Amino acid sequence: MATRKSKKHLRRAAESRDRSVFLNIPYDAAFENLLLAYVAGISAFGFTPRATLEVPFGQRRLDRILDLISQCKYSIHDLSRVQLDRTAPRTPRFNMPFELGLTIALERAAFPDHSWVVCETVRRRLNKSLSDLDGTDAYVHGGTIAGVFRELGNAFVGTARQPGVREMSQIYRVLRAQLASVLRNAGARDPFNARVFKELGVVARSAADELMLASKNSNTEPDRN
Amino acid sequence: MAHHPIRVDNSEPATVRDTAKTLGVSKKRTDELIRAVRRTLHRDRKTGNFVIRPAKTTVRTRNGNSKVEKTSPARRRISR
Repeated sequence: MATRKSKKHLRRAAESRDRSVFLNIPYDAAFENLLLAYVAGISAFGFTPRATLEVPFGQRRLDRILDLISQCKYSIHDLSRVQLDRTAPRTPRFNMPFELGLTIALERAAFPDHSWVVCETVRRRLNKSLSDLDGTDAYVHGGTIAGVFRELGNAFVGTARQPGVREMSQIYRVLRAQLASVLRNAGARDPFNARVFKELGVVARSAADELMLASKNSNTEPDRN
Repeated sequence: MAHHPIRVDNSEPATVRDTAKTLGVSKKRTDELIRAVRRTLHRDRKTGNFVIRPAKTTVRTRNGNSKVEKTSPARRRISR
């Protein structure tokens, strides 16, 4: 009985991993639109977005980040923030490239089926900011929502679901419409919060399902003329 | 240089319940969020296109009346 239960648990964990995308992005107010765009786009492809926002700050944070990355089969690393931040002492953010490094190490050492892509705002900047990645082109979204949708469409290859930019935009608009009430419910001021991020993931998936279902029904509806 | 795309196998897409379970959102809250999404999405009968209505949230004001708020609260700048 116990073996059957653990087998079921393992199967569920494997299924969850196959459908999870680790999202490595900067957490700042200027990136709010793009966070929603990534969540909308990832959900449109039928995946669940995951991020270190889910991991609480504490002693075992690094272990938990490693756990989280290993629970995802795919990952998107946005290395747009290379500037110094505004608060003193002014520093660049090292979290994103660090987590990309962790992902590549995990891929090489333990999870060879893990796929990752790098996104950037500026073309060819990655060659300078992270020259160790020479030979890998970044997906350049130009810092726009439409750019993120376009590049996600280029990045995910071979999916049964091929949502267009219009579909992703609709999911994005649903997320925008629901953001205020999700924030209020969580008592948060921005979406860079564990609870808000998780609920936005559910909202986006729900919107994607509703839109897919409706388009499927309209395609199968008999012609009345 | 070349783009290295994410090659995806054609497994079934995650359902809302799968996503909620993976992210640890409760069943009750998931139901609430699904209902909220359904209220937001409307199909225009004439064009067949989806119309997305902003979610209205009612808040109690200081004089005891209620008002509908459509804007998000003030944001604060955070970094990681």
